Formats: sequence, C-alpha cells, structure tokens
Amino acid sequence: MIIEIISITMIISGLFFFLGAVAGIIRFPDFYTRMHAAGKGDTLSTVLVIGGIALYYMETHHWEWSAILVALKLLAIIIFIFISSPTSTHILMKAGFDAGIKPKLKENSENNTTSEES
Amino acid sequence: MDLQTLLVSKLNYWIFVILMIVGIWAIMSKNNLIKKIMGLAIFQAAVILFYVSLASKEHGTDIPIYPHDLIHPEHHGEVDHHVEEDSAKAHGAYEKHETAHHEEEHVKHSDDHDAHAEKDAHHDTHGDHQEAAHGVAHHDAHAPIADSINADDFNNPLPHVLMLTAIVVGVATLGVGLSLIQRVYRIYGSIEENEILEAIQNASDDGLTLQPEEEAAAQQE
Amino acid sequence: MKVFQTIIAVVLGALLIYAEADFPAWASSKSPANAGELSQYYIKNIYDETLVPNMVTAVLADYRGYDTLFETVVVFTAGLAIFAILGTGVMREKKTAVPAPKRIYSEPPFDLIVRISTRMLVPVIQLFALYVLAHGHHSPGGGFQGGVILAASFIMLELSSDLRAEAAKLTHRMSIWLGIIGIVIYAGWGTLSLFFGGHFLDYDMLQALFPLDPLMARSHSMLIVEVGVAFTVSSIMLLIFRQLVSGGYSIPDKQA
Repeated sequence: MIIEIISITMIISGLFFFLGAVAGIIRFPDFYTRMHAAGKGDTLSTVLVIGGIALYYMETHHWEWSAILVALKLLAIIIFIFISSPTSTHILMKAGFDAGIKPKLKENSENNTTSEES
Repeated sequence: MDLQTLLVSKLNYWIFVILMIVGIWAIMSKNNLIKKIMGLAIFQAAVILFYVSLASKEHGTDIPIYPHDLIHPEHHGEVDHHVEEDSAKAHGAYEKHETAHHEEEHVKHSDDHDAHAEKDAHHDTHGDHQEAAHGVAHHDAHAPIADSINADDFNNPLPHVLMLTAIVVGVATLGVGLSLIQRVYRIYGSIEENEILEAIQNASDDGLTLQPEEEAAAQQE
Repeated sequence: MKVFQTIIAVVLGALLIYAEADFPAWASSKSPANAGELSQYYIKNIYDETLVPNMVTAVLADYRGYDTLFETVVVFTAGLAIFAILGTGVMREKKTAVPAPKRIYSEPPFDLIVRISTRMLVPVIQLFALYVLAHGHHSPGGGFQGGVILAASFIMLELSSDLRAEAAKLTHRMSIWLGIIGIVIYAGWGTLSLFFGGHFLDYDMLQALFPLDPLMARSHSMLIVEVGVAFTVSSIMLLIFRQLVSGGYSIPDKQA
C-alpha cells in the first residue's frame, strides 16, 4: 500500500516536471533557453516516471528475483537516457551557436557584445 | 446501429481510416516532394496499424509467446521419480506393442501417449540410465501441449508476421524515394512540384539538359 | 485544385467508414482472422513442432521462411538502388542546376562530450543488438530488429565524427559484401537441406548433419537464418544512411 502511494507520487511528479518543461519549451524567448528547458525536463521526469513504474512492478510481483531483474533493465533505460539526452541537447546548442544564432541578452548589460560585433 | 457499436467497438477502424485519409490527402495535395513522401509513410503506418489491430483478442496476451510455465510444467522437480515410472511404463508399452502388433495397430493411431511412450522406449533401449533420464526429460519437454492450449488466450501471430515484412519493405522503399528526391533536387534545383514542372517545360529552351550523358557523348564526338 | 483533392479524400473516407459497418468488432475471437483454421493451427502447434516459444519468429523464419528470404533480398536491392542513384560519382560529371558542392564538410567536428558519450554507448548498443538477435526465440526480437539496432550503433559513430573517415573504415564495398554474405547464409542454409533429401528451406532434414532431433534442428536453423538476415539488414541500413546524408559524396574521389 505504501509502495503504491510512493510510486503514484513519483509518476505524478514526473508528469508535473514534464509539464513544466513543455511550458518552458513553448514560452521561453530564446533558442538556448528553450533547449535548456528540454534537457532538464527530459532527464528528471524520466527518472521519476520510470522509477515509479519499477517500484510498482516489483511490488505487484512480490519482490521476486525476476521482478528485480526487470527493475534493473528499467534502470538501464534510465542510465541510457541520462547519457544520451543531455549530449544531444549540448550538440544541438553547439550547432546553433556555430550557425550564428545569437543569444537574447538584456539591452544595457555589459555582457551584451552583439551590437559591437560586426 | 447504436453509438456504442459504431464508435467504440470499431475504434481501430476509425483511427485507421483517419490516418489513411490524412496520408492520401498529403500525397495528393502537398507541393513539396518531401511532404508527399511523409504522407506515404503515414499511409503505410495506417495500413500496418489496421492489420495489427485485427490480431488482438479480448483475453489474449499482448505478444504471441507461450508463457514459461506452460512449456516447462512444474513437475520437473520430481524428474527422477518420473524416470523409473515412465521407463517401466514405456518398456511395458513397447513389449505390448511388439507382441500384439497386428491386433493393436489401431491403438497406436488413436493414443498419443502410447505413441510418445514408444518413441521414448526407443530412446531408452539405446543407452544406460543417464540417457534414459535425459530421454525422459526430453519426453517431458516434448510432451504435446497442443491439447492444453486454448487458442483464445493468445493473440493471433499471423498479422504480426505479415506486418514485420511490410515495415521492412516500407523502410527500404522510403530510402529509395528519398534518394530519388535528392537526385531531382540536384538536377532541377528545387523540390517543389510546380517549379519542377516549369523547369521541365523550359528545359529545351534553357539548355538545362535532361539527358546529360547523351549531350556529353555528343560533345565528345 | 486543392478543394477538389480535399473533396476526393473526404469522399474516400466516407466510403471507408460506410464499409466499416460490416467489419467484425475489435478484438473479437470470432472474427474471420482470429477464428480461421490456419491461425488456430499455428497457435496450438508451434511449440510442438519447433520448440520455439515465440510464435511470430517461428512463423517468420520457418513456416514462411521463403517470404523472409525475399524480404531480405528486397532490402539488399533497395541498398543497391540507392547506391546506383546517388553514390557512384555519377552526379559529379553531369551539368546540373545545383552545382556539386566543392567542400562537403568543414573541419571534422571534434567535441569532447560527444566523443566520450559515444564511446561509452556504442559497445552497449552493439551488445544489446546481439542480445535481441539471439533472443528472437524467447522474446520479441530476431534478425531484423537486431540488425537495425546494430546499424544504429554504427550510424551513431558516423554522426559523432567525420563521416568520410568513418566511412573509410567500413567501406561501401565491405557493406555490400556483408549484405551479400547475409543472403548467402540464408539461401545457402536452405539449399543445404536439398542435399539431404528435403525441400528447399526444410530444416527437418538437417538432423542428419548435426546429432539433433528434428525439432531442435528447426529451432537452431531459425537462429542461423536470422543471423544472415541481421548481416544484410545492418549493413544495408548503414549504407542507406551514408548515401542519404552525404548526397552520395561519402566516397572519396579515388574510389568513385
């Protein structure tokens, strides 16, 4: 019973973080900030949702070894997403930078060199 | 035709029809060649979905695989006990068949267990007890489970097989289509259908050749 | 014109929905597909005849093995067709509207993060591909799925670094040779049973070759033909990717 509550909480909070990431992708003003939101949402919500699923599965199969093996395979999925998703975010941002997309900065800040670059 | 029958129990057909119409519309009316190919891919996905949805049954498993406990029944732990019983039974059955062969031929045809005991006795007469145990364990593994399976418990495997082939062939033809689009882009400079048609009509005036190898051959001569 | 096409599409959709009224309900056991004799025979008898728990792999590689052989040939032919359309350097001599680019790639992109993560992931992906191939008998998998995952690992290597350098390691010629080897394995294994008095692709007869009973011979032969399929599918998918991405320019000039 307690494990079920924990797993449901994890899944719902994972979906909540995903909702935040989607809102960020739509509403952020700049390419780089949007990519940042995508990278965050992908990893954290995946961990929570898949972790919740793994816990629920192990509980309904009474913590047998076959169920623990299934949970280990789900852990492997989490590790794979953790390695690949931020890497793809990084490479996309780098490609955007190389293509010349300028970040949107504040007007009078001293970091703003876009007006001086030719 | 009440609403429940029309919508709910035929939901997969509705989805298939909608996806197929989207695909056909994209092939017909989009100008961009890549979008046409994407419409073709959507159409293929709709057909595959249709066939796979035909394969499901109400209480069937999702994937048509025999579960583990159906194949290896639980009395494997007592296999030694079964060795002696079954080998004795097999020897008895074998001798009974040998002596009364002409009388009991009809028994051989009608009784599956006796036929398997005969094959198992054949295994036993070849070797020692270890091989007999191995033979009987094989007998346990080969025990026909066809009668204990209710076909309603498993999803239909045939549409899955057909659609595996369909997916692979679809991917291959998609690759060929995309390479043709690249070639068209290289020659005509555009992948919009109206611009390509104009370029074909203007081809003879401009000198943008359609058969360049013939022109190159003509230039070499 | 577009209105006309939309009307055609909508009319077609309406006709199909009208025809739906006679279709059997979803997931009914009495539908002609599910209650037919062939399907019932397969579900009841596959384990007794081939000792393979996965019905789909058994039907694909054994009962309908001829179909799968020519599906592999279709994949190979598609790879050859793409090679003939794009990759033989034909495009360089012709006078074309869009001129051939002088320089395909700039400096090969060196990014430490991508290099390291690719190096970590590729062996695991290849191991998983071999696992999927070998477990086609017991879980969803088999030759096509394993071959595609294997191709994905090579594609990841090529995406993360210089395409031409990686393409020189596994050349086009080698890719086509691997495709041929896959088909030869499949068709050759089927021909082998002709020498023992059976039909083409009749794996029962191969029990004379190995000390096995006919059921295990069928099960092992399925694994061998799936290996052949994986060879072809992985190499041809890699070839298709390379040709499409580079527009045919992934071969260095002297090979073309």
